[in-house]
Amino acid sequence: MGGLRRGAVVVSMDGMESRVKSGPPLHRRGEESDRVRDEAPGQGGFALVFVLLGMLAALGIASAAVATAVGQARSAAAAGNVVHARAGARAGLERTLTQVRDTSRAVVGAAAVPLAAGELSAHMAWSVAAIRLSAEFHLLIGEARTPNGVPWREGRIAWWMDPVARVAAHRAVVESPGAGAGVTVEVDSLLAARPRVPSCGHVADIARAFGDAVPFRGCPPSPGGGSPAGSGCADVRLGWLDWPRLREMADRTLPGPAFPSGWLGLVVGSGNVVVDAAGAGVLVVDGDLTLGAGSSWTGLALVSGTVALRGSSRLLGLLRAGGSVVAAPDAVVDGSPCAALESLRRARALLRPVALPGRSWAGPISPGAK
Amino acid sequence: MIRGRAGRGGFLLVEALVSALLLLLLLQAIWWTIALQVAVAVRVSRGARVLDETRLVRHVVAAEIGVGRRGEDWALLGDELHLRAFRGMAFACRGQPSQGWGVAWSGRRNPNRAKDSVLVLSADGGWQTAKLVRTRRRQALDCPDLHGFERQIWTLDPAPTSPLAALFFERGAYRFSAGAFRYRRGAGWQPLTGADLDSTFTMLETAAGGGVAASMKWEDSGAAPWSFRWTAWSPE
Repeated sequence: MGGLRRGAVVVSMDGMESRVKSGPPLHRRGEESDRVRDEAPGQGGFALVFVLLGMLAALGIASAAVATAVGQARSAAAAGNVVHARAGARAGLERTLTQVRDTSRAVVGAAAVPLAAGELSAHMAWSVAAIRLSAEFHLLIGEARTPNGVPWREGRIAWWMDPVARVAAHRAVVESPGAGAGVTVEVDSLLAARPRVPSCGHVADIARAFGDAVPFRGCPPSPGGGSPAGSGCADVRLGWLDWPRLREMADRTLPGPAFPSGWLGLVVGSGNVVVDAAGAGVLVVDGDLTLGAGSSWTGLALVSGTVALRGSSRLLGLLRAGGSVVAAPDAVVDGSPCAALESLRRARALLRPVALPGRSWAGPISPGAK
Repeated sequence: MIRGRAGRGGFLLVEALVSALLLLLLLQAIWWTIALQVAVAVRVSRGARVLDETRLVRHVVAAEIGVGRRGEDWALLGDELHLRAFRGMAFACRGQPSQGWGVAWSGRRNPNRAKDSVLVLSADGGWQTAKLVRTRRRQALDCPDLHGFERQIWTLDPAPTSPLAALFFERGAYRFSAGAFRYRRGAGWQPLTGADLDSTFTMLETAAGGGVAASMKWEDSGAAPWSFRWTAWSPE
């Protein structure tokens, strides 16, 4: 609405009238009030200040809540990274124990040797290195690192069969509590080369162990104060590998199909096992072993029970038996640590690190900084 | 400008009253909003603490029994987890000093002869316990260079024969008591968390299969209860 016309009657709140005189058009009362308020500083914007203050306080609290939530998310992510890295390190160790099939390249007292490495999901890198503590004991250190750099390390003690150490652990061609009578044991060519078997005379540990050319000896004690109970050879085992483990790792189980020529790897059997052909490898029997007439075995033979060698049978290598050893007059045990060594070297199933039975985890290890 | 006269004051009074009312409403709304925000912030903050403490307890229990063997290294006696708290490991250096055992060690903290014992792996594969009598730094030891490992000479009692590696540990125990998760080494139980756990539902117990089951519930947890339960396992 426009201003009041000149000459119009203006009625005020108290009922008095007055006429509009000459001059510029008058404005409505509201507009007049605005003008009055505009000219009263301090009355306008007071509520706005309150609103702003309130909003500021609310914003501050909300910011704190958001900061807390963000901090919590980061904390959770960091904890998750630690869990992932730890699981990655352990998975790397397990994978190494499962997949590595080789002799150890690590040297006692020397630097750690990388064994395996890879990536897990989400590009988490892992690696495993081995430190050789002794001939057969190793410290495996698994390390994992998440994509954002969180590291973790886990350690594990592993027993890793060393063919030389295994053969050098024998001190006689035949180790048995009841060996001797009527068994022909040849010890004149212990360290010499044989068909398919190279000489091992240059291997110091074996040369030292068999320097006295002992044909018979009783059983040695079981390895390790922490190993399962049992002494002598009654519990058939190869170092820290016991019968269930050996059976699980075997390349071939007896009785079975005819032997192919060449090295057979790890051959196991239980009960009354009869070998009627020519075979070569590491033969482990949980029970009694009979070498049939005319048959032969080349390599290492570990038997928990008795061993019988029938007419003209031949065992070239080393024998350890938990029971007695009997042989026909024309059967022979031809002592050869070199054949036993070669059979162990050819048994790839045995060339792997295994977690030390019982206590094997070693830690905690500092993640360190490379 | 037209100034209000005496009779026009009533109108201003109404305006003032309406303004005051609106102002009060505005203040109320602001107050309510702030109070709500504070309540939410407190709840978020407490929730964050609850999650932090849950993660802490879970990590501690899993890490402590993650190296040890049940029965041999740790056992639940009632609602207390008694254990060998492993703090690090070491392996033998190639060059050995005339006295003591030269090792390269790594762990969560330095070996401390005042509270640590040692489990030693011998060349025959057996583990024996020995007391850590003395530690000395010796950089000149001939050890494999491995990051995170330091060289020391340890004196153990009894002196091990043909030692290959070792774990060092302190004796300790964990439990929930007086509303907090606590660790004891020696006499006192030190709280590792706040003291507002609900003692009725918070406990450590043996899980089926041989692990350690932990249940945690917080007091006054409101509409959405903060409670967690999980099981930690030994690897062997």
